Amino acid sequence: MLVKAVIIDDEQNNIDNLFALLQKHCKQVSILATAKNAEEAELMLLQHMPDLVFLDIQMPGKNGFELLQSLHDRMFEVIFVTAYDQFGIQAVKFSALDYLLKPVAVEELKKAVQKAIDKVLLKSKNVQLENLIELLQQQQHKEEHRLALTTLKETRFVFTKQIIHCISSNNYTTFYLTTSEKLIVSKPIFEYEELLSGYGFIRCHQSHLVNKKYIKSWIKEDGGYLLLENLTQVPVSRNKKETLKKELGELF
Amino acid sequence: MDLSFNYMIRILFSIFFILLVKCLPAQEVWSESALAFKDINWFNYATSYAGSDQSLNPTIVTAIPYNGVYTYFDNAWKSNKITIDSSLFKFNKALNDNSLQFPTYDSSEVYFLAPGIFSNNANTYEYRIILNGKTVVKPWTAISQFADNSFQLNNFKKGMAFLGGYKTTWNNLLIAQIRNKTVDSILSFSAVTWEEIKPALLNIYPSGELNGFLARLKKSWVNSLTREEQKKWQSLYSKEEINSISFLPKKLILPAKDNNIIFYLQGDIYKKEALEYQLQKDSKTYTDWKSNEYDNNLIWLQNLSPGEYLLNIRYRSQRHNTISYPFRIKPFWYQRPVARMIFVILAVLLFFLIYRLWKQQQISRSEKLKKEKLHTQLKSLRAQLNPHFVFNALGSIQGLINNNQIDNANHYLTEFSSLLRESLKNKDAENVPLSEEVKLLETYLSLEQLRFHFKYTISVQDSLPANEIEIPSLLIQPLVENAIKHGAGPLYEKGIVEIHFSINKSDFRISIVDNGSGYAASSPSNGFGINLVKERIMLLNESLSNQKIHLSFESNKINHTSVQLIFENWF
Repeated sequence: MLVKAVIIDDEQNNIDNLFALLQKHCKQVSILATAKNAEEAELMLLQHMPDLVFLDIQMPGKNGFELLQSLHDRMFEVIFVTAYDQFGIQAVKFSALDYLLKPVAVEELKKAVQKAIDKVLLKSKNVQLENLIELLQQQQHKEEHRLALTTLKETRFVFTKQIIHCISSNNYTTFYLTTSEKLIVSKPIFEYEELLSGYGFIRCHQSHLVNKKYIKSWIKEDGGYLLLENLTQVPVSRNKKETLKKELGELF
Repeated sequence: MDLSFNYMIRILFSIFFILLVKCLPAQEVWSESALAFKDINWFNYATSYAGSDQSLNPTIVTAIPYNGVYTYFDNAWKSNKITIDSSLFKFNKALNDNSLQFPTYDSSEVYFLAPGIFSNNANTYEYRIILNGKTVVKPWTAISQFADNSFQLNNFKKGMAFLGGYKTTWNNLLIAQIRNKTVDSILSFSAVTWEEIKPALLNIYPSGELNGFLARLKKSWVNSLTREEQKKWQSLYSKEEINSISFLPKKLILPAKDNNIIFYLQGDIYKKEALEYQLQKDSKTYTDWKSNEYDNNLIWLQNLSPGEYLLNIRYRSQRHNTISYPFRIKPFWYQRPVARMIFVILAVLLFFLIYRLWKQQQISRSEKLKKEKLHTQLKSLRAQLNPHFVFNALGSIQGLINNNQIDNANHYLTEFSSLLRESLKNKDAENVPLSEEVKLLETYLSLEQLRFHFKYTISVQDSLPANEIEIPSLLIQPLVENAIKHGAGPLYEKGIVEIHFSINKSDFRISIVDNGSGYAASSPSNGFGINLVKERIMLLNESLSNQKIHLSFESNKINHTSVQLIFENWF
C-alpha cells in the first residue's frame, strides 16, 4: 500500500533532499505535492487530502504550528522537520509526536515513516495532533497542558497536576497518578525531566522525578527523603540536595 | 588599733562639744536697726491698728514686715512661755492692754511709731525696749526721730515720733514701752514675738480632683478640711495611711496619668516670692529651691513623670523651717521594671534576630556569588568542539561525497550534525545522562574513525543505569580526543581506544585506554584540552559538597596509556 504524503518546507533544497531520501529509503511513501508556505499548503491539503504530512516548523509567515491551527480538519499524520527549534520540539515531544532534525538521518526517517504508516492503517483520529493543537492554543495556561504518555496498550493524555511522581527503571519510566494508576512508558526519565521541568517537577534522585505540588515534607534523617501527599517516600540524592533546596526555597 | 583610737578621740570630742552647747544658756540676741526713717520701704510693712485717736494721747503703732504672708492669729502671747515681770508694767488704765501683742514671721526688724508724740512735745516722753518681758535692753531713751511729712498713717496727725527698728532671734519677745517722764506710768506698749512657723498642707488635688479644687476656692476662708474632703481620702486610703491631724494621706500614691497635682496650703499667702519649694525625685533634686509660680497659697506641679517624689516647702522668710511631703506617681504598665525588662529582652532578641538574618543573608549572598562565579567559570570551560576536529570531520565527509559514497556521507553528516547540535546546546544543566554522553562519544569516535580507521569499544557495565546516572557534559571528550590524537590515531588500523564505564561500590569510574605511547611522550605540553579538563574538575570539586572527582594518568610509554576518572560517592 502507498501512503499519500506531502512535504511543506520553505526551502526548495530541503524539499528536494527529503523527496530524494524518501524515494530511496521509503518506497511506501508517495509524494503527491509540495508547498513552500502556509497559503500554498492549505490549498494543497484540501486538494490532495494526504495521509502523511512532512511539516517544517520554522517558516516565514505562518509557521508550521500556525498552519495546523488554521485547518478545519487534520485527518493526517504529521512528521515535523526542524533545523533547530527548542520550543517547537518541546511541544511536539509533549504530545509524543514524531519529529526529524535536519540534516535528516536516514534511520530516523525510516523509523518515523514506519510509525506513521502504522497509524494511517489504523485510521484512528489523530489524538496526539489534537493534543498539540490544544497545547499551542493554551500556551499561557500550563495547567491545561496534557502530556502524552504512550504505554504498550494506549496513549494517555494526562494533566501535569495529575502526576504525583515518576520512577525510572533505566529505559522505562513509571508514572504514578493521582488516580492511583501506574503508567509505564518506555522512555528514559531524563526526557520527562526535560519536558516537565517547566511544570514544577524536580529530579531529586537519579531514579526519581517528583511533582513539587505533592511534596508534604522533606525528612532530613536517613540521608534525606521526601514524603509525598500519598505517603510515598522518595529518596534525595546527595548531589541533588542543593538544587532541591533552591527549588523548594525555605519551604522546609 | 591606730584607727580605732583616733575614732574614739573623735567621739569623745563630739560628746564634749554637745555638752558644751547644751550647757550654754539659750542665746537672747537683740539688735537695733541703723536705718533712718526715710530709708525704710514702708510699703512692705503691716501696721497694728491702734484706733484713730486724733487726741494727743500718745500710743505705739507696730510695723511688721509683710512679705506676702499675712497671718492674723494673735495667740502668740499665749504660746510664748515667757513670764512677764510685772514690775516693768505699770499701765495707764485707759489703754486696752491686750490688743498690743503681735507675732512676726520675718527675721528682720519691726519698727515702732508713736502717734501723739511730735517734735514739739517729744521732750515730755521717753521709750525703752525690754527683752522677753524681764530684761531692759534699751533703758528709757529720749525721743529724737520723727516721721517725714509725707508719711500718713491712718488718721493720725503727721510728724509722729519714730522709735526705731528692733529685732531679736526666733522665739524671743521684744516689748517697746513709752512713758511720760513726769508720771512714772506706761502710756502704751507693744509686744512682738519672733514666731517660728512652717507652711502646712490643707489639701491635695490631683488632676482628677479639679471639681474639689474649685469647691475649695469657693470656700477659701475655711481653714480646715470639710467632711466630704476627709471622707474622700478615707475612701482611698486605710486608717493607718492617713495622718490623724491633717486628715491627708501620709504618702500620696497616684496613677501615671494623674501627673498634675495642686498642693493647697493653710494660711493666706499673697505673693509668690513668699513661698518656696523644692522637689526631689528618686532622692535626687528634680527642681531646686525656687519661688512659687502663683501668688496664692497653692503649689501646682505639672507633667510629672512616674517616680518617688518628695516636696519640700518653706516660707522665704523662714528658710530653716521646712515641711516635706512624699508622694509617688506610679509608672504606666509599660514603664514598670518587669515590662521594661521584657522590652529590653524583646529588643535584644529582635536585634539578634535581625543580626542573624542579616548575617545569614550576607553569607548566602556571598555563597550565591561564589556559586554563580563557579557556574560561569564552568560554563566557559565546558569543552567546545575542537575546530581542528570540526573541519577535519567536514573534510572526511567531503571525501565520502567525492568518492560517491552517498549513504556513508549521509550517515556521517547526520552524526556530525548531532555532535554539533549537542555542543551548541546552551544547556543550563551541567550534567547529562550517561547514555547521552555515551551516544555522543560514539558519534565522535565514529567520525574520528573515518579519518584514522582505528578500532574502538565503548562498554558500560551491565548494572549501570545509563539513563539515570548523570555526568558533567562533555567532560571526557577532550580525554578521548587526546587518546586518539596521541595514541590510537597515529597507529591507524592498529590503533585501539577502549572506553569503559563501571561502578565500584558508590564510586563511578571511567577508564580510557589506548595502545599508544602516551600523550607525555609525544607532546611536550599536556595539551590545551587536558588542562581544560583539569581546571573543570577542580572547579566541580569546589562546587560539590560530598562528592569528588579524581583524574589520573598512567602510561608505560610504549603501548599502553590509561586515563582513569573516579567519581567518588557518585551514587
